[in-house]
Amino acid sequence: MRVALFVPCFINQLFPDVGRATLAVLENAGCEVYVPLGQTCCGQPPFNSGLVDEARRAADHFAAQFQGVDAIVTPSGSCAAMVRCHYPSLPGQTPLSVPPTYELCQFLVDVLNRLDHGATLVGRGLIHVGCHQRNELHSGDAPFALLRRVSGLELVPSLSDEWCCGFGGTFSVNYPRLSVAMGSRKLAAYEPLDYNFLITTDSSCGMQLQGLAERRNQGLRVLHVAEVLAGAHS
Amino acid sequence: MKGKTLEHRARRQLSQSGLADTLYRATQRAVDKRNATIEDHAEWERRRDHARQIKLHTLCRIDELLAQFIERAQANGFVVHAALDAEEARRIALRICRDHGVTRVIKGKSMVSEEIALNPALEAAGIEVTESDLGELIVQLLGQAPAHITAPAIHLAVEEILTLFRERLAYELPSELRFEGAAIPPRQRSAIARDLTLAARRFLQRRFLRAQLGFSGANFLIADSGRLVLLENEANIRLSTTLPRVHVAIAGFDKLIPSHDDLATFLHLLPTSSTGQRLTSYVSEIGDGDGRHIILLDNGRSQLLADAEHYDLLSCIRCGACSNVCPIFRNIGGHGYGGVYSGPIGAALLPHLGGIDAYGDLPFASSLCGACSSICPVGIPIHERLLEWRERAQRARGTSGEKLIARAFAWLIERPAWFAAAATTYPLAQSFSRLLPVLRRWSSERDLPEMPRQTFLEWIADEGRETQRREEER
Repeated sequence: MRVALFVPCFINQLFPDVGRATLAVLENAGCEVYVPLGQTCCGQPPFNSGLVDEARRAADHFAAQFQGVDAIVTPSGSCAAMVRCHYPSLPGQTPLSVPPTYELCQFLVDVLNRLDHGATLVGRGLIHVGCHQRNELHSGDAPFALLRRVSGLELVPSLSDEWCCGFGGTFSVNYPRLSVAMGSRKLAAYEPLDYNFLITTDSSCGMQLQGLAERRNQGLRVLHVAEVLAGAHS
Repeated sequence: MKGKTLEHRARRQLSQSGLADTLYRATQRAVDKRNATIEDHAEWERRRDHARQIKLHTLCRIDELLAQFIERAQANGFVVHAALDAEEARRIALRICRDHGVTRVIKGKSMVSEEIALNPALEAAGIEVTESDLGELIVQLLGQAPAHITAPAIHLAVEEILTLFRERLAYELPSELRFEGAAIPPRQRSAIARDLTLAARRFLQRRFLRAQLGFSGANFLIADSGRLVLLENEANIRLSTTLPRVHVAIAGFDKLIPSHDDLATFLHLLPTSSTGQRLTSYVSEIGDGDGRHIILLDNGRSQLLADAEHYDLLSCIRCGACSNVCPIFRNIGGHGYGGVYSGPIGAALLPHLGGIDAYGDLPFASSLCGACSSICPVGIPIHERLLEWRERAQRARGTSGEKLIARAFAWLIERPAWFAAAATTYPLAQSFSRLLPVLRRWSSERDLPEMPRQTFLEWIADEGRETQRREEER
């Protein structure tokens, strides 16, 4: 299967290991992976601010970069949802043509139907599935299906598992008090639990929770699900 | 509520100690109960879809169904009034009170009566008004608006209600329930809550007996039978609609459903979503008009109905589930929204009903997590409506700094080399984070991640992966 790897702009910039891990997982699963160097941003920041014309320009650029593949895969539920759920509603003269786009876990479970990636991670992990993965892609179970097969990993449930981390893109800087309050509630719910790390499907959520935890000197080791799945064979 | 913008109100609400604790506890309990009640998810989705179809179908045939409802309700003996706006609805209500020489009114819970500000109008006319829903009574005694669509006193701790009842209802704790200190010991909580409820009941019984007129809302107006349906747990609505000699029901026309056959779907969806009950304790179907009044309210609904993108907001059945699951609501409560309706549906509805000048910022105060859309029992994609409001707001605005930045950002997106070059300024920006508003607002309470030595795409370019693929294509 020929797939194009879409690495969201902030992952490219701030979390390149997540990109490398995603590439490793896809290649290990037998995909022929193509990484367009001209890729930039899916356009979600202007879209979420209501600036749809600018978002459409980003979508046109995105579509031009990702042609000629069977699927586009990305290690972000939020950016995948932008392409899958919101591109069709963007204004424009011509229809947008983009190959089917999937979040990594969604792709591995729904398309490849491959749950075991031979990964090992010893310890107790909290799971934070990004809200767009659950509420827009309707693929909230996929990360669990994969992580349950990681040997040595014990999943730690939290009362706050389905709570938003408070990131929300531009929301995090337009309404910092609310954003921080939301993230703090999540961290507070983690406090009494016995865990070694937090596994997340979206690095943006990880950035929010880690940024909050670090400022408070509350140790929180954040791993992206791709890093966990790439664990044993990197 | 005071405070012009949501930002101001949110700051005030967040600074109230214990408020978010109370809200998180109460809303999570409601969501947990709801989730436990839904056993068959596929069946739930089918009912949800069915409900959405019924509601949209109703809205598309509203003229016909409204005419049918009015005709049948009149045939059943109801006196039907139509009110175009809040002012007209209040005038009709006051006229009915005057015609019957009413000086004391008892009310069942009704959000529409809040929408038209009925209580202040009645009180200004010298009429005593008593809210008979426990939560509504509590907020009425406090002089507050309901803090939640279905749970008006959700923001209050039992301690606060205890203090209120001591002051306003001359309540005294029975000796066996007395405790030391300010906080109620956990073991005594439910016993004290129960005793407070009984105290409210004693107070309300006297008010029920002397009321000459009962006001209620309606959960459903059935077009083909001309009947009203009301759901509740406290029997106060049953009393309000039967004990006083006059009954006035007030409802938006969006409460219509076509037929009695459609009712079962909603009798299941509404209580499950609201409180996690399979069925509410009391379902009243009122078919015998007997001179009862129905005030059908428009108040901006026709205009919303004509809005092809947003008219499905009228299919809301006011269950409050979207508030329960909303992280914004959980932090600021209903009073943070500054209007009658609150939570995600309030943020989408208020700009329609109360104007974009007053409520235009609500749709922006959301992380767009979409939990509201997932839980909505009639399948309204609420967070998408918020997104559309943002788009509308931007279209209405002139050139702004934000727009110029977005335009520059789009320009960069189209030019990968420039995009990458712009990103290399991050470490510099980081060291000046106090000067840049965006980074300052992030950094006030959060650390920023460190910039790695090489970006992912730089690494890919070094590895020569992309070029290989391009050559294959050629």
